[in-house]
Amino acid sequence: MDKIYDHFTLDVQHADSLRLFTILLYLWFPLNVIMLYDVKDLLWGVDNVFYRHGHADGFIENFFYQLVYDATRFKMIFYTHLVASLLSIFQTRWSLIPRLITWCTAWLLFYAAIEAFNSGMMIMISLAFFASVIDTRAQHPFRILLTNLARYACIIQLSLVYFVAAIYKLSGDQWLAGDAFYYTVHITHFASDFWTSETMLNNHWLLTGLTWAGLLYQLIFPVMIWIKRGRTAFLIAGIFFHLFIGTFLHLWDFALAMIFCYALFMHDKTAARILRLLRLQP
Amino acid sequence: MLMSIFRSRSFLIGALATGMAALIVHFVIILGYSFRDQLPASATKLTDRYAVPMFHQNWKLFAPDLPRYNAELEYRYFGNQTWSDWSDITKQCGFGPYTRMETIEQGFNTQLSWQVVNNYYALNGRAQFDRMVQSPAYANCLFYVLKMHELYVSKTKPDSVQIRLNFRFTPPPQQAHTYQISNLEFPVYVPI
Repeated sequence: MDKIYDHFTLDVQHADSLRLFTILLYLWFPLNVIMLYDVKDLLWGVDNVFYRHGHADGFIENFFYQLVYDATRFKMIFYTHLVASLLSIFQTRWSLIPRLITWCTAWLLFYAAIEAFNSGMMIMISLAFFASVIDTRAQHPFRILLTNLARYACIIQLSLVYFVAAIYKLSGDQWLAGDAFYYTVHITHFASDFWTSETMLNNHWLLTGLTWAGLLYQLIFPVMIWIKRGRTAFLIAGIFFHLFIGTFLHLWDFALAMIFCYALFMHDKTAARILRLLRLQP
Repeated sequence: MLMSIFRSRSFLIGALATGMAALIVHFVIILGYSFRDQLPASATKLTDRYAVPMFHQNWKLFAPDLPRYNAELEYRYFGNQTWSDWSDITKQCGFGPYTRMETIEQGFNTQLSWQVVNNYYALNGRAQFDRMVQSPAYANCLFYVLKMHELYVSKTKPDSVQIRLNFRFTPPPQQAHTYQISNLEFPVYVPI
């Protein structure tokens, strides 16, 4: 019991990697805003392209769905989100405020244009909730406790993403048969000329191997992150896995979100070196 | 005084226990919400109440199976006493296959394809569209097409508009790569 107590209240665990993680997490939101900037009016403006069906009624729902029923608030919410996410990158005594605003406004934008987003936005919003209490310079034991709990919550959340996705994939036919990647490249939205060429489509073993490698990675992720031996190599493989998704399936927002999250598992010394390089070391 | 309470060991043990318990309860409910299709209605009522809207999650990208077809949304409109050619509205408005607008269109296509699979039926040898055209999926597609048309093609509202889904079916792996192409035209819609 004393060991657990000390672990959670004496020091912020892996402070440098956690700091780098929070920087990347909140940096993802402005990057996403930049990626969506050209089409922001089509997504949330008064002349948006979504047919609004109405929404569940209730105090909380009315807050989180407000952009669904009132597009005139879009600019205020959009720019508030941008400013709040930029402020959230910096760690101050009052970071909780911009971070909670980032989390809230991200949900508002998400619900009002849900078809425009993939899992990348959802994972970052889910993590932003826990990360709002992170303070890697905390000296007070209560704040240290909150920060350490938030770190574990982020790790569990990330594991949950892979675990749920893997279980759903196992419940279908294509992933176990090794055909999922073959069917993916036949969807124009994800396909590239490289993968739809006759040579690649005839390379059955490669397509099957990629499918199984992706499935295996997701299945063992929740276990591998707790095992020190081989974890670094596993996570480097994961970075390549997500770079592959970004490059060939054109899901850069999702790929970057997942890669950014890997900072959580980075060695503290490496993270400290990167922070010093970015002049963000406290 | 207050700060010393926050620093006291008994308070911190209580906070640690509460925090851990809260995280366990949170993730158990979220796990249930993630597999809500497998849970009884009484349980989903609870998980939905907790997870929506603040903790919503959906990790089914490319799962459980991918569609065995590629679907594209096309439309044509009637104006100046003539029908236009069929065209892909997203492409026509200058958005490529990997853009966010195409993501949106693909989302609508998936919804409407689901309608085709589950609500397209024949009665007395005639195709029936009634269930599909009453669905939000059809309304989404139609609204999207009309809005994009208004913003990028012509400010004048067309007299009539018609949408269709163009399917290109993926051949099974390790077979000849010839594609079967088919389309489904929906009834003509007259904007009010």
